[in-house]
Amino acid sequence: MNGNDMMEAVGYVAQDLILCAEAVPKTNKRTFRWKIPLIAAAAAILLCGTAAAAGLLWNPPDVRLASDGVWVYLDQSVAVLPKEAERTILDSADPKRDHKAFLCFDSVKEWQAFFGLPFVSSPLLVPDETPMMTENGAGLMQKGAIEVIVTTEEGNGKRVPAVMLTDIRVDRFDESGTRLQWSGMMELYAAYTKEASKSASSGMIWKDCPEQVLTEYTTSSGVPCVIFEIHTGEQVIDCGLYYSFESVLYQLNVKAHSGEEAERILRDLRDIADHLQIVSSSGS
Amino acid sequence: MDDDRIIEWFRNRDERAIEQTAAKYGRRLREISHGITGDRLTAEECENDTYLEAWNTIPPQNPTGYLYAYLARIVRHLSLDVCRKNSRLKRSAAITELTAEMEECLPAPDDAAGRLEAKELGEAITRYLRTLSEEKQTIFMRRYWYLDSVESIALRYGFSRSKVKMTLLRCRMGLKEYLEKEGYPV
Repeated sequence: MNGNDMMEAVGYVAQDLILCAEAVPKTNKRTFRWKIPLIAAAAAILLCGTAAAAGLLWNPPDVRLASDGVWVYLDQSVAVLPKEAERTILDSADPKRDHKAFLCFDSVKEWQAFFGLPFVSSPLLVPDETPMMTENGAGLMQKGAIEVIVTTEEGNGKRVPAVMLTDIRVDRFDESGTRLQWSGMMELYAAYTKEASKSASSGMIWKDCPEQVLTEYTTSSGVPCVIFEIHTGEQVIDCGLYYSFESVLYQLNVKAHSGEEAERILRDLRDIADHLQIVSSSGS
Repeated sequence: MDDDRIIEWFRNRDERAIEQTAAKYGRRLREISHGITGDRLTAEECENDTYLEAWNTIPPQNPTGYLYAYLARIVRHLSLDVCRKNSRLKRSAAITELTAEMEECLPAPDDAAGRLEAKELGEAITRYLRTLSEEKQTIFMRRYWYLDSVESIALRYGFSRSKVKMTLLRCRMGLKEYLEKEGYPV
């Protein structure tokens, strides 16, 4: 028996499981959480103080012990959403999908103009703004490269945006800028309410999953980061870089398919961390 | 249209069975196939081949109470087959990756026992999935039944990629343990 046989066998699972997974996601009352797995031996408590670098304000993540592990929190402040964007988000929030708004943008610039946020990255990374094709029932259509989910919550009798999660595909090229070294996914997270920022977490140590390794890394300019590697399967290692700036959390995820590739990517991540900067300003 | 009526038409070799199946389930079957193959024309072919397969197998098969699952399994099988045979389809690499993930669930080999039929193993997987929360069941099914990418699952449910990947890893580890504990041979 092999993997193909297992795939075939999965085809025979009960109808109710097939139908349940086919359905559009039901209302989920839990606050949106973001977690990355960290090492169980939480002796590496991170980042106790503030850090400043090159005039930028980097907010270190706050690490706390919880009953089921260790959580890494964003700072307690909230990101500010422009009024026009708030209206667009609330108008497009889908009640059937837990009042979430699903948005697309053609470019990082367009995303920044909408959310009024800076974008902090490294010149070593190139956002992939190639539009995507999707089937909408009537046929194929093009949609923007940058996908965003914004959750909403009830507060004082009205609905407000709560949490924003953005995906941006990024490419890392070689020195000449012509040869692709690897592609990754940058996830950005911002909270828009006090409640959302209080309960939001950006990391958790999984006590029974020792395949994760976490490294605290402070860049040459004093920016505190976390570099992690997680063995999610045989020959599959997820590498990542995590940092926060003002009220936004950034997590760069790259997949490696061998130990050597993972080492190379982890070195690159340190390089990227050492070159973090505001790529372009917020605003229109 | 009632599924029992459609199955009756299949058994009586009445071509209304195909028309009504297409009307009732065609779009969903195409979506399953398109999700796997990533190609609209291939998905339409798989859909049509599904009707032919249903015509050729009912009877003797009698999928009363689970007609949709029966058809969905056929279109999934056909779509997977097409992807494996046609490496030019862009989803082929994704299928290879998924198959490698599923290999991790295989229990240790038992030389003395006979090989499990796919249906029996599928029933064992069902029993295992029923021990999980609905959220984990759904993530597992979207990945290994519908063959969604991790990114697609994360977006669909508003989860982070890390959460989806870790959930899948634990599901695979759990399934392997379950099959070993229940003594399923391979």
